[in-house]
Amino acid sequence: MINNNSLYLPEIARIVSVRQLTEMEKYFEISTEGKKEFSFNPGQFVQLSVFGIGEAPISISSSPFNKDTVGLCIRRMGDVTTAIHKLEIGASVGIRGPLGNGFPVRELKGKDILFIAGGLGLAPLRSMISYVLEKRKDFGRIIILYGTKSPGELLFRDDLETWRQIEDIELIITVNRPDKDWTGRTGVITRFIPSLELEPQNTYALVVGPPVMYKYALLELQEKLIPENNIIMSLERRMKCGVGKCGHCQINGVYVCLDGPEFRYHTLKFLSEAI
Amino acid sequence: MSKIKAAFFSFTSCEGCQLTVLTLEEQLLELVELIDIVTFREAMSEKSDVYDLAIVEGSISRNSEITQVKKIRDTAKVVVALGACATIGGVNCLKNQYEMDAVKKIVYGSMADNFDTIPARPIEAVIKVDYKIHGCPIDKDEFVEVVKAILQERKPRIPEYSVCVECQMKENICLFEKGMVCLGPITRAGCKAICPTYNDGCVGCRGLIDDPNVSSHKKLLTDHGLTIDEAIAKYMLFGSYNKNA
Amino acid sequence: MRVLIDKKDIGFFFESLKEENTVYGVKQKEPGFYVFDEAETFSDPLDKYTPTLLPPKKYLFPQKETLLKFSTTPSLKVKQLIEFKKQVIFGVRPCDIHGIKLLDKVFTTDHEDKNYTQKRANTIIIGIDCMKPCYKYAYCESVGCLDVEDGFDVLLTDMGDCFYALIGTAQGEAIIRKNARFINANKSDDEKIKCMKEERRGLFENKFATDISNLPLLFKNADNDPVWDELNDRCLGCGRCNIVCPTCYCFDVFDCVDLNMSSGERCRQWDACTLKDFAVVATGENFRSTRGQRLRHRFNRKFNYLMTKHNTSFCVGCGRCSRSCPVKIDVVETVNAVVNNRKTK
Repeated sequence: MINNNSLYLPEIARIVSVRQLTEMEKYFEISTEGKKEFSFNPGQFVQLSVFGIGEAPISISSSPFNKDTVGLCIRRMGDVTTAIHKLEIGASVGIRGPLGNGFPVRELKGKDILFIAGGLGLAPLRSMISYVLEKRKDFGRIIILYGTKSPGELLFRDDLETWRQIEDIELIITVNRPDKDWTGRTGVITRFIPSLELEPQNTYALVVGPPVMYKYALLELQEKLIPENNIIMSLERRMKCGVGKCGHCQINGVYVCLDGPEFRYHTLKFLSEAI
Repeated sequence: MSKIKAAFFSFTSCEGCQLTVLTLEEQLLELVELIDIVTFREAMSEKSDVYDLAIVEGSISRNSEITQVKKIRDTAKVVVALGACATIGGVNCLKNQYEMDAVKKIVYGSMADNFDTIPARPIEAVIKVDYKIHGCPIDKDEFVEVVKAILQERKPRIPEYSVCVECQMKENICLFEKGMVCLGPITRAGCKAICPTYNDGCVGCRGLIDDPNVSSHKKLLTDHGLTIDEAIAKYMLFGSYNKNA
Repeated sequence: MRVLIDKKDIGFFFESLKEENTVYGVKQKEPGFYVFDEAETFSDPLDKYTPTLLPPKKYLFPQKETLLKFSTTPSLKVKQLIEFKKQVIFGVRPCDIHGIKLLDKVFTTDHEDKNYTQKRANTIIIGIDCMKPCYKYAYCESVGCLDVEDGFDVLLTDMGDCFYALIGTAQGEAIIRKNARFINANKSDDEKIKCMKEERRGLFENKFATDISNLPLLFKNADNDPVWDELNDRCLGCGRCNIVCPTCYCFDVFDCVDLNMSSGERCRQWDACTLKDFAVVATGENFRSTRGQRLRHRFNRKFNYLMTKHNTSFCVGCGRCSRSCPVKIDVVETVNAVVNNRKTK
């Protein structure tokens, strides 16, 4: 979708809906208004522009079957994300992408999928979860582990409720710091891996979360004998160009924007600066 | 939306940074389209106690200034420290190496008892500062950048890297290669390397970069013929303020 | 095609190119220091040349360039900007020709970067060959960048009273025919050039302790080499090595809004992987937080990461970084330390 004649030129798009998910995160649906169909793989990202402020890489959270809009779950962190939080329906932004590769959807068919999402990590995984639910028969067991620091940080609560009600989804939600109203599980998410009964050769673990989560998730998944090829993690790096030029997202010999942002553990384990 | 009301204030300083703002000339006319300058004694006689944005030049070196700058903080929504005296304490802090009584005697002689002085400090040592415009004097483009950043509610683009980056991009000959010394490698850029461009070593007026390798730089200075004392004197010119003292 | 241009006619060739192009040549900035700059006349120091402060890369990938122009009122309009003009870079040495060839790879691999390629397509490169080491920092021979077979339109070799001009492209031939006074070279001239090139071998004493092809593997296994700790203590993190490098191409991108607060530009500017904030992510983690790690990354880019990806050394041996490092961190010394530390294990 990136056109070499205009590598750095974003398409103009409009915000068609805004939803406050938590104190820090909003969900934006963005449309190029019929100028192009938006096809992407789950796990891909876009470079989002607020002109005058800058550009930031944001992973796509919406279902790949919806080609009219792109859904972006955006945490207010830096200048661009703070600026977009101030925008309302109808505002114009710029969008480049989809960029990156996304999850190896074809390879995952027929497999058991273990989603491990920490905090904002649910944002890219939600797109893949939507895909899997749409094509439910193509996949084996679906297990979703999702954890945040506190109950107030849980994203996509209505989705969580929907998933909870689907019988053949195993959903485990946990928070590190429960409040007085919390009745669910508590503790870090990786604690819930040991009790899962998995068929390691047939299981793929898709892991997205903060760097500290990866270390523990890896230990637990290896304990479960999940092959290194089947552990797929999405990495976050600073990106300026998104197309393999600017150098910011380089980890050893790979570019997160071009070669990722999803990587298998058997690649990552050779990259000393990856996690 | 009503325009932001901005007021300039001076503490211990030469007011050269405010003069630099005046040299913006045409850009200044564009700026006053965006902000309402209500107090600016370098440029106008009107004054106002109502303002949103306080642009504060100078370091704090008297007890009365502490009271004044706290009042400014209470009034303004946004406080900008303007220039080296305000951001890092600047040359005023050179006196901090001495006893205050001795300093007063040197400056005021027999009148010393009539004056109050305390070790000089940057604004930030007394009140919370939202934005800093470094330099002695400031770079006027950086002033404009900070005003824009305030209006856009974003972080200003102020370099975190060394003067060397700007200096080398301008294709200057490195002063070390000419046998001179320079604080450029460990000093924060943003000045467009103006001193090295005119063949004068950087004196560090914008403060140090994050995590500067001072021990290696000190060795570089002594390798270039400075004594340890001379090297330390270089750092002290703008780096005398010690927040732990 | 190869021709001879009498030395007294080189100025004519240079000036005649100015009719249709902006011509940049090597100029002395101060005694012993040279820069590429727009030049009135041919002022190349020839055998007194030492690498210019910045490589000619700046004419293809400028320090700062505008990528987009935008205005947000009354409605958002965005336009891309790709600036180029017809230009000649006159006096590019083999190391820098190799540097440009590497940038050609970088800016066309995976995605084409038109801001670069359009400038490149409108640039004529006139090289000047090196017959002896230009200064003690050069190690071009060690990285295979002393000899150059392509990447230039014309390559001049100083034969004393005349230049032997090897034509590299059709465009090179066209400008020679149109803009130069020349005679055809003959076999004995070719022989003479061949001899001169033979004679320069071995003159370059500053060299790696191993063949360049061994470096990717050696560096791959040198992540924990003590040399990075030693460099961590010495490096000032000033970024000069990146800025002067003919093959560094990392950049930062930022928006600049005009004082009307509605129109503005998106620009890119050279960035440097040795600077502290280069690899900081949005959440604040810095994946290369020490100077030693950042220098290790820079060396690996030259001799491992990019060398593996593009199958050629990403260092051209110009020695600019070694010369301009305030604390004299030297590429050859560092590479040799890595080589020797591997040997002893």
